[in-house]
Amino acid sequence: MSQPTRQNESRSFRLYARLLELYPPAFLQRHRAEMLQNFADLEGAAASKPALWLLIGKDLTMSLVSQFIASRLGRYVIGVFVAWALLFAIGYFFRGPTPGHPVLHVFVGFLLGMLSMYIATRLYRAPQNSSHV
Amino acid sequence: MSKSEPPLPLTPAVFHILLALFGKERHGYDIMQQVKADSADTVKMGPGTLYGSLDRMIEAGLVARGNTQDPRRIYYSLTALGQTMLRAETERLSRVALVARRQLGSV
Repeated sequence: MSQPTRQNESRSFRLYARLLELYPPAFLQRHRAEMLQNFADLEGAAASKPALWLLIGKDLTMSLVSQFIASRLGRYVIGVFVAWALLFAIGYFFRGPTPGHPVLHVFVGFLLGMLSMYIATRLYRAPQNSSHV
Repeated sequence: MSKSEPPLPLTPAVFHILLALFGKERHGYDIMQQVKADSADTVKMGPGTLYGSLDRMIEAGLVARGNTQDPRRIYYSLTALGQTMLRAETERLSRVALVARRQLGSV
């Protein structure tokens, strides 16, 4: 089991430590030390750096997307996009394409989406991340 | 029983983590290596996926934190509910495999 010290930390290790900052603070508080240790172990056992980063890149992408969708902020953002798309579709259905002003529907939908986002964040104050199965 | 107990079928990640923890407390890296070995290299889990899944499994009451003396090496173990879910999922998979074998054999 390798235990990296300040002196023998590799560039990959330092880069991974920076990338971990993308995770929600509550998740990092629970798992940062374990994740860094796991990375050091994976790095020690990896056949090559590209193989290591292929695994880590895939893992970071999938887990960050999953964390974001599970978070309240993620749900707000998805809600805003759904509301935006819905308003755009309703406008298009009743008004049809507006020649010369196609951006108008999108812009109005965007404004209403931002307004709903603002109301949602005011209602919940500080968005917090939640974890669930 | 936890209110957020996951329904069957379990995701491959959850099933393999439960399997890796059956009968033995393990830390994160050990779980990743065991999952890799159990799945014949088909399920490769990184730290982000592992700890995200473990958080959800702890909340669902399938897994418990064990030895937490060293923050870099926290040990995890199966709960009674985790064992029950592992057995139930294994039974379900066996039945699916049986049906599949029967159908493939009859073609």
